[in-house]
Amino acid sequence: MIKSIYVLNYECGNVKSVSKAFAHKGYKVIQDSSMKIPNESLLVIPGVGHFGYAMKFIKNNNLDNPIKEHYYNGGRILGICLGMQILFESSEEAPGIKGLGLLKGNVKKLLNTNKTLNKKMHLGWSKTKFENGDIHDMYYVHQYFCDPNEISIVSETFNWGNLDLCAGIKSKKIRGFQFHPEKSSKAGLDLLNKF
Amino acid sequence: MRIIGRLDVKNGLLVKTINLEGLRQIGSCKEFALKYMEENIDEIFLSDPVASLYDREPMFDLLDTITDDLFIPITISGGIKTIEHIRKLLLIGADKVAINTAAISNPEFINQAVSIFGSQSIAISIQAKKINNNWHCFTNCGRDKSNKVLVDWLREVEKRGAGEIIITSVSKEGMMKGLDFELLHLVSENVNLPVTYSGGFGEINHLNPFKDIDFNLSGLAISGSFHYEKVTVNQIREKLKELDFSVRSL
Repeated sequence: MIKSIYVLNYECGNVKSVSKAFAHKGYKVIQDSSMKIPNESLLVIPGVGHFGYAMKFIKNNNLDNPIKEHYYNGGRILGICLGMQILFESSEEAPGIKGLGLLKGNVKKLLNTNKTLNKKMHLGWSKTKFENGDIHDMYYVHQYFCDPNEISIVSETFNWGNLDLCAGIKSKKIRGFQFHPEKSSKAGLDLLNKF
Repeated sequence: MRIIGRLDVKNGLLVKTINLEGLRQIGSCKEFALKYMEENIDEIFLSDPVASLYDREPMFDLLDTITDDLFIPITISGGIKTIEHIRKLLLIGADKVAINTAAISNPEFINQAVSIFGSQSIAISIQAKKINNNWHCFTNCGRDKSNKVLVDWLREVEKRGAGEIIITSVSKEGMMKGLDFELLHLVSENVNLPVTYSGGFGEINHLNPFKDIDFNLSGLAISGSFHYEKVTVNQIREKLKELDFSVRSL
């Protein structure tokens, strides 16, 4: 069977880059505005944008219910960058605005803890530690990071000052990446094989 | 540090500029972008340096063609004037947009863009030139002096939420005679954002002054020396490693 993905188009995603990357790996890519998400498809939520704007768009266009239905009917979800962040309950980027809340925890601002860091934005290729102990450089561009209540769902980490922060999550039917696999060249594309 | 291949475009073709002027044609943008990806470049910077001068739209079609096969980050600049421009560019595969002229003529545009697309998508491109001992910001390929003094403008765009500064030294650009360390120093002292520098690289020894400077440059954009194969991405990577910069390991 050909594996398929349904890419959420919510104006805050690099829909094309994500679609092309999955297509490159042989997936059938479904990309429309029907929100009829086949339950066997992986729902991919890309993300480039502002938490508050993204959630308002999702609410105003009633996209939250189809996402939740897909999930509660056993469907799988992959969130990338902001697409992972909105799966949590809230974000310091947009105080008072609720996330989708499929995962417990919040999204916090990166602190400039160390002058030698890339200052207040995490931008560029950073060493990422995977579950199996492998380390690959992946591409990041973000100012906020996910802080799940349950540490056990953190599957990948990146280093920020003296902290190891969440670079990826794995929780039942949900997978998430803070980095951009679709922009991380071969190391990133290879990750997409595994869905 | 990110090693960035800078592609300056005119009429869909890759060109080489000198002091951001005097355009010489080199070849197909897409071919160069894909070649650089194969050589493990960290990012592509696609620029139409005279878009605002001729009131051109951003290069939607070219970006769309390139991102069909490009699986590394790409930043685009030139002619970005509206929220709709940014939305469309991000949708077809840009990771960041870099804004110069429109930010200078309407600084509030930065705040608007950040509130929708987040800081991480919005870079401010600055063309800097020193006149009578003062650094000023220019537009239209370093032709037109704006009313912005560099140091004030850096602080202002940071306050307005920009996520990155992409700075070009107009007088060094295209000369291949060395980077503008005076400018680099000034920028790093006055802004708390990732800084990408462009202009003047011509040979590997031009990076040596980094030995004696303790700021962490986020990106180095190189155009001519890559296009004319004077240096390879790998040579730059090895040199930066030697200079104690953290670079992507392959």
